[in-house]
Amino acid sequence: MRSLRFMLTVVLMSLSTIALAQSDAQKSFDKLKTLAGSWEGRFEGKPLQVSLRVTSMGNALMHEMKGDGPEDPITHG
Amino acid sequence: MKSLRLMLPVVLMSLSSMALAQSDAHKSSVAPAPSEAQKSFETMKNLAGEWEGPVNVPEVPEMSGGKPMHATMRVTSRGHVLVHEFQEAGTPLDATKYDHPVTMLYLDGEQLTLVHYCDAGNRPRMTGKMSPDGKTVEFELKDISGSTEHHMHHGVFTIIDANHHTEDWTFMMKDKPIHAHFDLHRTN
Repeated sequence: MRSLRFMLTVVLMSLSTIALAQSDAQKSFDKLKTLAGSWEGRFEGKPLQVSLRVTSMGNALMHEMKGDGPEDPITHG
Repeated sequence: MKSLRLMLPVVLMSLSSMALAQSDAHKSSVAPAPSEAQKSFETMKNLAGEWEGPVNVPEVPEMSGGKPMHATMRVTSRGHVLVHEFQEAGTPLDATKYDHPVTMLYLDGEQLTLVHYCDAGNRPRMTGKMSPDGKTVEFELKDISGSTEHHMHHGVFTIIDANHHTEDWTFMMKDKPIHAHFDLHRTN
């Protein structure tokens, strides 16, 4: 009986650790997804546009940055 | 005299090395012929634009014959990436309500590669090769980031002409393959 209680505690602790780990990653991703939209700013004195778009049924956040030049990098997370 | 004989081969060897070095430098100013992977990527980049057409899914007839699909293909990151986006034609950009998978194609060293950001939540990576006639680029699964239970497994782009291409995607529902054939015409 004692060993069963011990096992149960260990299993519950493991499950809660897994749940917390997933939750932290999910929280971080959800936080970033709240940035979705069009943004404007300046980089080295020049205007800069940033677009963040949630896509793939909410599984990806597409980040695109465009400045004065032909550069158009994309970060996809 | 003996030392002169020894010096001569050393000098000649040095001169020939310099000549070789110059020859290499001269060569480097000439652009090397594109590799097969580069040719495949350039072929794919020619598809940049807006496309629309019907989808046929033999295993799921209710998915066939509905609204046409819209594909957007865009070259970005200074030509290093081709972004491919799919959605049902006429639907708004709302990732919570509508499917909108995004696929990024790029060269990984000497390998044409794609990462498919799937609506299923995983990211299959595939490597592609062009057929000898340059009309088909076929992608085989390399690995998957995320769950493997349901995943995009295979893709084929067939170029019919500058304004018409087809895409054949195979999605795995556990062990069951689902084939989707897209017949796309350029709209822009």
